[in-house]
Amino acid sequence: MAVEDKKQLKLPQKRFFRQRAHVNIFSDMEFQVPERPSAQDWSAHYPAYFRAPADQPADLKRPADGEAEAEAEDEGRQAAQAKRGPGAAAAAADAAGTARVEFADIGCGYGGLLVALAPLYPSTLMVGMEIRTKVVNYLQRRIEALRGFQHALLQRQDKGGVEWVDVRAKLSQEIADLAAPRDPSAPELHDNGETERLVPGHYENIAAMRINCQKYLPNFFEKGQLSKIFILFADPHFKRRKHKARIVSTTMLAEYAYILRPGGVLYTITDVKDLYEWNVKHLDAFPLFERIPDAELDSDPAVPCVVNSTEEGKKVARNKGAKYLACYRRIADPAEPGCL
Amino acid sequence: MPRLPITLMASSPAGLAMLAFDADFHIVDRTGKVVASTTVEADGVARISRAGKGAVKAAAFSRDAGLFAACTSEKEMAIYSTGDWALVRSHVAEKRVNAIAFDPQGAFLVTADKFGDAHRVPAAAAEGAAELLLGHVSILCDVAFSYGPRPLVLTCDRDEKLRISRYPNAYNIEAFGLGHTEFVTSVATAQFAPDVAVTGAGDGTVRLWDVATGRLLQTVRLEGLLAGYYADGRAARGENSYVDRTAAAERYGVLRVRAAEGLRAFVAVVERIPAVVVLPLGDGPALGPASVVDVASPPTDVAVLGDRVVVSYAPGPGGDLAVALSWSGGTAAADEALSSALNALPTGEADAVAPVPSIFVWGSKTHLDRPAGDDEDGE
Repeated sequence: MAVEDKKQLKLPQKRFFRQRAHVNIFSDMEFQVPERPSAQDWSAHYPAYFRAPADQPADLKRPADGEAEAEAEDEGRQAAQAKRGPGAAAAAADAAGTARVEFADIGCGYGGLLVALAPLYPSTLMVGMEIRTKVVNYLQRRIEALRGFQHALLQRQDKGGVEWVDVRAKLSQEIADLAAPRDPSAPELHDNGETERLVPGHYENIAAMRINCQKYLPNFFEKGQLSKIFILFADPHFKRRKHKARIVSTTMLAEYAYILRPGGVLYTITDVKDLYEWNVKHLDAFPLFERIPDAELDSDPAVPCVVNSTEEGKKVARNKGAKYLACYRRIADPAEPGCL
Repeated sequence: MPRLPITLMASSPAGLAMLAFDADFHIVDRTGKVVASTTVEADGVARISRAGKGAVKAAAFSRDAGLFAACTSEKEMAIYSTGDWALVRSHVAEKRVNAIAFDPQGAFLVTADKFGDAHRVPAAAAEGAAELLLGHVSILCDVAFSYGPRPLVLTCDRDEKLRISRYPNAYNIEAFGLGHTEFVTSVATAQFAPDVAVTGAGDGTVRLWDVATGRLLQTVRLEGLLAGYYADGRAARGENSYVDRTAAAERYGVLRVRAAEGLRAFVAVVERIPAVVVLPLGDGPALGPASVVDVASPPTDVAVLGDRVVVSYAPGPGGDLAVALSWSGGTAAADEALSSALNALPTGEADAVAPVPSIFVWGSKTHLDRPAGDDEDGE
């Protein structure tokens, strides 16, 4: 990509992608949903990590029946698929050679969290899930543009003058500068998207999908696949009859516990006190989650992003609103000692 | 005046069967003799009180055959002891219930509702509130329990999913059975095959699953077995109306799958196709080879009665309600004696019998039939 092309690279503007917040999650909509997790083609989302299926050897066929065979072949195919393309940062190679999504942002909106987290965990794949078409389109273009800027910077690198962002140092400094990182009046962290400097991971490890999380999570994620789930500033669905639509419910907690591995963390934050109390009540009552005390959260590098990096989070801070954070660890089933 | 059809059946492990017609039902033994009923008054026939207002929509016996439960379209349900058919408890559900099942001990009755929730109520006690067991964000179509050493509850929904959860800690999902491409109407487990479960769906397939892992073991495409019924016009086609979208496509919507213990097979009936499909379970485990047996009319349900398979249907020519089939040497034949006894059952009459709406009316995803260009996000 020539330097001139950089002029055409632009971050998309949110104002052209606005969509009202409320969507009826119970209505039938058309989604691209894989039959099962092993059938998902992740190469469209993470081209630096997965090779497209068209590149696969021709003799890998799927039999008409005997799905057991097909599943074994899927696994072989996925292992062959995992590939690092050019431009991927120096990242620890996955032991098994197969990359898998590990973080999920449920209701990722315009992508503030993902963009902030990406350089902090450069070899971890993260996916944002969002039901609103326009918002997903925006975020996909944003990620594409950010990757484009990174590629252009990499091209320029040998000519010198291209800096890397040392994200951990920058983050530690910012946190050290703040009296209290979770103070609602703390200045905004993370400008959300480097276009002038290289970042670890080059934003190759984040992607956005349009999906109704309340119906299709098990189609995308295997049991215990994820190590982090983020639920930031969710729709409060104030009316009583809409409570079933809330993203934290006894029903959904079972599914989050299924896709999250024991030891994995579920992060929730909201500025609506009523919703925070609802979340805490349901999570406290759910046997597979246990609350992480505040003191432990101070050492979690994801937390400042959770609190400050999203558009919602910044809006709340600007309005001097309070933010209520509640994080839970997925634990082994107390009803089954010795099992998961 | 036309007879009311038998619309629902349930089997007891002790060789009894329930046959329901509207709000009433009979309990019959292996010979087709009525042992208990909500309508028949005769010596030797126990009188049972109705389960409630509205047509019986779900029914089940407990595994030790000691309890029987029925639930109506008005959410009213009753649990009876099968010794004297006395009412043990009644209960009103919050939402309309699509399926019920007793847990393996017979201690609780589990209900699966159209809101996606499964609850359990204590079965033997007259009191005891319902507790929430698990939920899907979808309509629940059926519920069943596994026969293996570890108790598992299986629930299937309108959004193509089979969920396998631990019991009673059903908040702990063991596995999902993923593969169906349409609403899953029915799930069956069998004592003769405790490691597997069988489902039927609106996608025209019957699928075999490994219960412990949710792994799809086999898919049986019914089109391959039943296409002939459309070709020669024996399959009933729907009218081309907004309410009934089945006219356009030759669909194979599975109404029910059941385990036939005596045959070591699973049986299935398909909406509007006058046949019953028998799938023996062999080594592998694997289903097959399938056999297809004609019945007189499009079926309403299938159940086992002893070692016979009973198919109920909308009254055919001659006003028949059902046929009982037996197998010997791999060939099916009608058990004339039992069939006659079943056809002699009094089911009442009505001025007109409303046609049973297609399962695709509630099951299929409306967006597939919506003209293109409509609002994408259902706001």
